[in-house]
Parts: sequence; C-alpha cells; structure tokens
Amino acid sequence: MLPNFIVAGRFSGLLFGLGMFAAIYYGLFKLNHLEIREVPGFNYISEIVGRAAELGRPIHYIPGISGMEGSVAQRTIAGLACMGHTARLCARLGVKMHVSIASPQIIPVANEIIKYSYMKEGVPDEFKPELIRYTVNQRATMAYIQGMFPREKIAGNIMIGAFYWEAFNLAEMGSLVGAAQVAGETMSNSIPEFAVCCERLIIGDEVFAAAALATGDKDQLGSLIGLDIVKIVIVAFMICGMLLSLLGNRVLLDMLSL
Amino acid sequence: MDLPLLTFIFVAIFVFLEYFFNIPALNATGSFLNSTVISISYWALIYGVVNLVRHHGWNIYKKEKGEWYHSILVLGSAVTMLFAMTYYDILYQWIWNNIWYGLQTSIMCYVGFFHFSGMFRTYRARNWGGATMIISSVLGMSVNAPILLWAINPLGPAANWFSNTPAAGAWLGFHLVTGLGVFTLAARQFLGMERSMLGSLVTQEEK
Repeated sequence: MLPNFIVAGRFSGLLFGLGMFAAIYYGLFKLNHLEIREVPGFNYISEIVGRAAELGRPIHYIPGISGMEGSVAQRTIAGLACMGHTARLCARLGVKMHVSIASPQIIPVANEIIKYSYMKEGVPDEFKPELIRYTVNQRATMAYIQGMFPREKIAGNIMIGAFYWEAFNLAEMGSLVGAAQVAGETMSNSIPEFAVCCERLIIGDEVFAAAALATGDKDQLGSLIGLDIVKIVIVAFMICGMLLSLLGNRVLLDMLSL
Repeated sequence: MDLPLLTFIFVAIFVFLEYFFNIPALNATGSFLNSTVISISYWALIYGVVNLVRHHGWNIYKKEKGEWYHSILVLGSAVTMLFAMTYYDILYQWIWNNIWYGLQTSIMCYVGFFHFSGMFRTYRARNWGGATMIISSVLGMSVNAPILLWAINPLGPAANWFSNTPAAGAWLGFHLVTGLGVFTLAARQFLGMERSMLGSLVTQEEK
C-alpha cells in the first residue's frame, strides 16, 4: 500500500511523469546532435513569406483565438514561438505582417516577440506596432478578417494556436482571396476545416515540435527525440497491456490505477 | 527575463506537488498561490484601464483625427464604470441585453452569412480532404437523421461503426500524442529554454 501523503490514484501518473521528464531531459542534453525530421507544414511558412515577397503583398498571422490560461495555454505559446520565426522571415524579406490577437494578455507578448525579431534582423525601424490588431473575440476576429483580407490583398495566412468554430471562417476567407495557407492545430474539431482550406497542416504534437523548430536551437530540438523515446515506451506499454488483458492478467491495469 | 522565469518555475513546482501529494502545508501554499495569481491579474486589469484612458485621453487632448470617437469611448466607459459600481445588476444587465447582445448578434449575422456560404464552397469537395469530409459527414449525420436511415438503411450501422471504432481510436491516439507534445513544451519551459510566453525567443545563434 502507498503512504497517506500520496494522493490515491495518482502515483502511477507521478512515476510516469517523472519518467517522461527524464526521457526528454536525456534527449535535450545527450541526443541533441541527432538529426530531426522535417515538419512540412513548418517549412511551408518560409514558402508563404517568400511568395508574399515576390508578389509584394502582406501576410497575416494569428496565434490562435485564446489567451495563455487553462488547457489552451501551451497551444498559444507554440503559436507565439512560430510567430517569432515568421516575423524574422518577414523582416528579412521586407514583407508586411498583419497580426490578429483576440486576447488582451497576448498583445504585449506578441509586441515584444515581433519587435525583437525585427531587431535581430537589423531592421528595427520596419517594426510597425499598428499592424498588431486587438480583435476582441471570435466573432469580431472573423468580421475583421473578412474585411481585411480582400482589402489588403493578403498573399499568405498562417494560423497556429488554439481555434474553435471560427477556424472555418478564417481558413475559408484565406482560401477565397487566394492566400497560401498553413494551419497548426491540436484540437480534432478544427482540423477538418483547416484540412479542406489550407495547403499544409501542422497536426497534434507537430505544433509543439514546430515551436522548437522555430528557434532552431539544437538543445530544444533534442526534446523532440526525448518525445519519440516516450512514444516508443507508450506503444510498448499498450501492446503489453493488450496482450496481458487478452490473457486475463490485470497486473498492468492494477499498476496504472495506483 | 530571469525573474519571471524563476517565478514560473517556483509556482509550477508547487502546483505540481500539490496535485500529487496530500500534505496540508502544500495544499495551503497552492491555494495561496492561486489567490496571488488572481490578485496580480486584477492589478493588470487596473493597469490596462489606466493605459486605455491615457491613450484615448491623449488623443482627445491633441485633437487627433477621430477625436469624437475617443471622447465617446472615454465617456461611455466612465459612465458605465461609475454606475456599474452603484447599480451593478440593473445597469449591467441593461447594457448586456440591449447593447452588447445586440451588437454581438449583428456581427454574428454578418459572419454567419459567410459561414453558411462558405460551407457550400467547402462541400464542393475541392480536394481529397473535402471529399473525405463530405463522406464522413453524411455517414455521421445519418445516425441522427431517421429519414436518411430509412432511405439508406445500411448506412446507420456503418456510421456507428465508423464513429465508435476507427474514429474513436484515432481520436484517442491523436489526443495522446498531443498531450505528449504539451508535456514536452512544458518541460522546455520548466528548464528555461522555451521563453516565448515571456516575449522572447532563445535561438541557437544567441546561445
């Protein structure tokens, strides 16, 4: 039996969490020399910016519709990391980047990231804070985008973060104005809309991998190798659990319920 | 930049420990930290109100273009805030029912029209993704449409099977890897590598 100071039913979660952290830590610092496979959706961002530079038209970026609280926080953070990467590409190629932010918390963070990206590319004067628009909520964001896309003749639309039913409107509007589009989403309810309207899609854990790829930092990329180790362990657990269940053995199930 | 990061790590450790361990002192600290977060966010709200008033007030003072808009905004906010403090229920309910709700509905009408016309465009099966979506939607809808079930009877069980077996399995697998992705990002944040939530990106060249 477990001691009283451990919450019942959470011990296996604690062990598993520590194991995952150890695997990611090992990947971060010991396996960071290994090559990481490419994420096509992430690579497409540079194609979008390049296309916009050739056409002399702006692009649009939206790091999701939510703030940085609750279960959607990590998705927004991944969207912000990719936004920094996009801003650097835009600064390098002289492409105007419109940004829509629907949560007031995100505005100062987005402002800092984009300003910093322009500074790193040596063109701080090109940074225009007025291109970062506060769009209040889902409906207002959709209305803003429906007006802004045709008016500004958007050449590319990048949507990485947390989206809900507005996903369809945003992606369809981009599709309507002929913008090259890429979307990154981890919610199964928004992915079908994005799959239909966008050229490339970043799905599930690829969104968080894209956040590491955005920095180009070898150590951060190592965490993706750690993640792959965890995936292999989980698949092994699943196969073992399935076989043991078929044989009528509940050892693994009992262990997981500790 | 290191101070917010250290605060984040400190708070994260407590929240993490509070979830797994049943120690009264830890639970008390967890509640205290949660209250502190709420207090800090309220201060941020006050700071935001001051900033907005300053911004619009400055535009009115300089007689910038659209001065009337800034004036109406400041006046409206001031009246709402002052009255809301005294007659919160009546006034806020009135604003909600007669102004906010009406504005939201009018935006929704505008957006909704596009939404429905967009559905038509999407359901043309413009690509393989669109085609798959149509087939799965028809199957999915057939479960809840008795007339469709009656007309094409075998679709009902097929839709149920698709929904309960491959779709449910894919859903679970998808959310499992997404959860792992979240954990990886959290681990990078915890180690101070991922800093985009603080408005900064640590790249290889900066290291």
